[in-house]
Amino acid sequence: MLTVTGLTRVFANRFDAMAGGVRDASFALPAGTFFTLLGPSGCGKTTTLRCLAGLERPDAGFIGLEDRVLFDSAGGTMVPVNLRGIGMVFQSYAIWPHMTVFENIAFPLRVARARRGREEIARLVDQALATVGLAGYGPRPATRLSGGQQQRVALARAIVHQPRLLLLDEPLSNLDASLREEMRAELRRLQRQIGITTVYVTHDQSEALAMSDLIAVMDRGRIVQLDVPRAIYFTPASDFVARFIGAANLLPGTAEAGAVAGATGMVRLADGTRIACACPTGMQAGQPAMVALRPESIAVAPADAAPEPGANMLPGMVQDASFLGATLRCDVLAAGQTLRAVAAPDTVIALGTAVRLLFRPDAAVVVQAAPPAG
Amino acid sequence: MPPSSAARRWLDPRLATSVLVGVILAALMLPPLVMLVQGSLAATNDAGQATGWTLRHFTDLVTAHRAGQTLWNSIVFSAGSTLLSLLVGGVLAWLVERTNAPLRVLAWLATIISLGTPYILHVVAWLFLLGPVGPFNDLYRALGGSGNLIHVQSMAGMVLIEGFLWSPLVFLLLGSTFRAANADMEEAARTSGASVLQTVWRISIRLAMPAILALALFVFIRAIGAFEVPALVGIPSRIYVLTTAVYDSMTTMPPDLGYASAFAVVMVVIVSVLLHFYSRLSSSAEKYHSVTGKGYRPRPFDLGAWRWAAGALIVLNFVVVLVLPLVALLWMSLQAFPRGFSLAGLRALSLDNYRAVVTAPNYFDLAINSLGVAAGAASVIMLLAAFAGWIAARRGPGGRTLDQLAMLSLVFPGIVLGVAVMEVYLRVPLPIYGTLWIIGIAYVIRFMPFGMRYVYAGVLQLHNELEEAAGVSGAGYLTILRRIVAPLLTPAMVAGWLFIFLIANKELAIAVLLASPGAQVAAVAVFDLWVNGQGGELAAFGLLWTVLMTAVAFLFFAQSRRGGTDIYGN
Repeated sequence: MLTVTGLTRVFANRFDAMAGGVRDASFALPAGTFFTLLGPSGCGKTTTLRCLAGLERPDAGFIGLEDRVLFDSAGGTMVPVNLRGIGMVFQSYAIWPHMTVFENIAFPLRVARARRGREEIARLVDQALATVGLAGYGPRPATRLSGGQQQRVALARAIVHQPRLLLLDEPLSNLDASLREEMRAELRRLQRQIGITTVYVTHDQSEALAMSDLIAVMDRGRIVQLDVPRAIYFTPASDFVARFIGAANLLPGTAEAGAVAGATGMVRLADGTRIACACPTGMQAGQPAMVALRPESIAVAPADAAPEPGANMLPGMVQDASFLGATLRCDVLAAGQTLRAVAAPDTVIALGTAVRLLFRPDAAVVVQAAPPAG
Repeated sequence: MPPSSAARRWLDPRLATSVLVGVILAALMLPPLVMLVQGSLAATNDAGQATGWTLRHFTDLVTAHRAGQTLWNSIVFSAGSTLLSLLVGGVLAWLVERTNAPLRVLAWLATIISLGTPYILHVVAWLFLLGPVGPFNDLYRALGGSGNLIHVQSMAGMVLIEGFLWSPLVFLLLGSTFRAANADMEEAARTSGASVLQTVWRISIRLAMPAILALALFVFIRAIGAFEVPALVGIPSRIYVLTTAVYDSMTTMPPDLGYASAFAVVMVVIVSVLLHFYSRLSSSAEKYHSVTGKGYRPRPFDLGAWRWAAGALIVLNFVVVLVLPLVALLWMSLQAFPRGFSLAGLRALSLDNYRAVVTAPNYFDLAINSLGVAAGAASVIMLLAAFAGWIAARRGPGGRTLDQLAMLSLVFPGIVLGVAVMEVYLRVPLPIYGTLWIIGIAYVIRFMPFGMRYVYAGVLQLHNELEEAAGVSGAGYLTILRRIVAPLLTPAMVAGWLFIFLIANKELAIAVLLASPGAQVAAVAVFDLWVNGQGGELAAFGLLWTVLMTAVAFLFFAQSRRGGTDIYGN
């Protein structure tokens, strides 16, 4: 169980007030959770991770791991990084080049307060090597490793002393695409197998969606949404999340009538078209409303197609169509703006064709507009 | 090949540039080496005319009863001062670059000012401080001792002074090693459960070890070639090292050129062997460079309560390396005749020495001469190095040869180069012997490798595609050099120029044999003042000179920082 409350660490640069950092982050993770901090660069995700590690001293807040208080600004507690009992994988792997693979992995055991015998160390290191699929690599010099192997050694080093928390700082970003896919699955399998609570930092939304039990999307130092991957994807809390998670269409409009949280409401778009939308947080009549609409939820139909009962329909004109192999990506001018839709790859549409865009009300989600930067 | 295409080949600007630069470099670099070897093997009659070949000079070396002792002195002196400077400079560099110790700016201040101070002034100041009338021996006597506690004119004194002379350079070079170190490596150790001490001992030091060893060898090589300390501290007590032995045989009457050349050849061989190991060591230091993570803010160690002890160490270094010598020089410059720190002396303060320096015309001429020669040499070097460094870094035609030619003078200790250049221009029918030109040429030869380092590293920082894009856009070879490479290299070139300007004005060894009454430079003049016992005027002139050079040194650091160039001491 990892508990974080009100975690704040603000960097002020010399000229203006804020230059990155994290503000008032709170979350609680049940043991064994794979938790991802997701956001663009400079959103504070790495700072959060470094605060958890003890590499950064928070300005305020509380960090507790199981029954131990790691940091508490109220009580003045700050457990030093080397006594936190954590494992961490760095973006650069930080494999020490002056040691063999074995020595790299044995390091946490050798510097631990609890002395271990030579045989026990060898056994634990071999076990860690086997876990990451590098059995027999121990005697190799650490400089003679490929990127993927370095990644595995870094992981073995992070888990060899059986820490209670595993911290991963963009560990896949230095790998090439195919290897990244492979390591992603491998990492998730490993984490499940060991059952260790894991905090993972990434800016890659597909990585986050594929691996996580729980995702915190961060923007400018704050957690803007904390939920399971499906909820993040299907009901983004704000236009920022919607945009960051996948290239969602965003349609500005006004609420026609009030709706309670979870109900379906009507939104009048800028050009006067009315559409039915899901309102996860409710809305009040007359207020501005931003509608997020995923490209894959939009059906591109001929101009004479009849919508299903209750479905939304927007007339439009095809501006551009790109054949991507698995899909056909269409940019359609509709409701006064360009909307992106995804059609089946065998669809043939000439540019300039009049079409109808059809989508169900639960695919159009009313999101909150993020507050302006500041 | 038809003649027309052969002609075109020779008109190829790439090849023509390489050949031209190569010829100039060869004309500068090769004759001193050839003449030195020739001089060491030439038999001469009493009139100094060559009569044939002989190995007599080398056999003289072996049979001379002091030769073995001289070599041994050189080794002890160099090893001792290397260790001391590594210890002082290394600890300081780590504290400044990798911890949150307070007052770190003092270390930089001491380094910058010491880069502007001629070595010889430091030595003079230390001779005063540790000498019989200096404050340390005064204090000892005041506490009831008799005679002198410290005998500065000893091997220990030489090692001490030379060690402190080199510690700022060690600080600078190791500092950049520590700064470039991937902090992830240390943080990985910390998150693995290691304490600060364990991390420093098992990770930081081990990672820096190749760089430390390479630097140790480098300082050792420079100490072998050092002249100021052996001349001022060693000669009076008849402790000779290789450099002073060469100097001695050149300045006795009549000068024994053959004997000096033989000694010089021995030094060149020793330095060449050491340089070979140095280049192997530094390339293995490269191997430890690993994937670096994203640029994060600097992440120093938190020393906790030890911060203030570390701060005290920084202050101590500041006092020893900078404050004490400067105070000593100031005191000397304000006294009409040499005396220790005392109340009587305080009442007798006078500005007479400064008045003498400012009013005598020769000091002004001297300053102009020194600055002019150094500036001229630095300009010629950077111009040649711009071509040679670019061609070498881009593996152009003959690039390796140009690189080796430009780096050749690394094998010459300053005093040896003095002997060699003297031999060359005594024989070449150019009327430059005894003028400032010969000093300028010696500077160019001596400091060419520095210019080369700056340009080479600067070019490597430029992405090759910048030049290829210009080529694709239709620019020719020389246009690319002029319009793309030269502007982008400017920061590195300016830093290199300033660095050469500074060290040319700092070193005594090259010019000491080449200067003549009509063609003096500052360091040699200071040396002469010392030999003549004019300590007061020496200190006054030296301090004014140091102020001027310190301004240049600040300029140099500002430029290096702005241009993002590293500082190369070798």
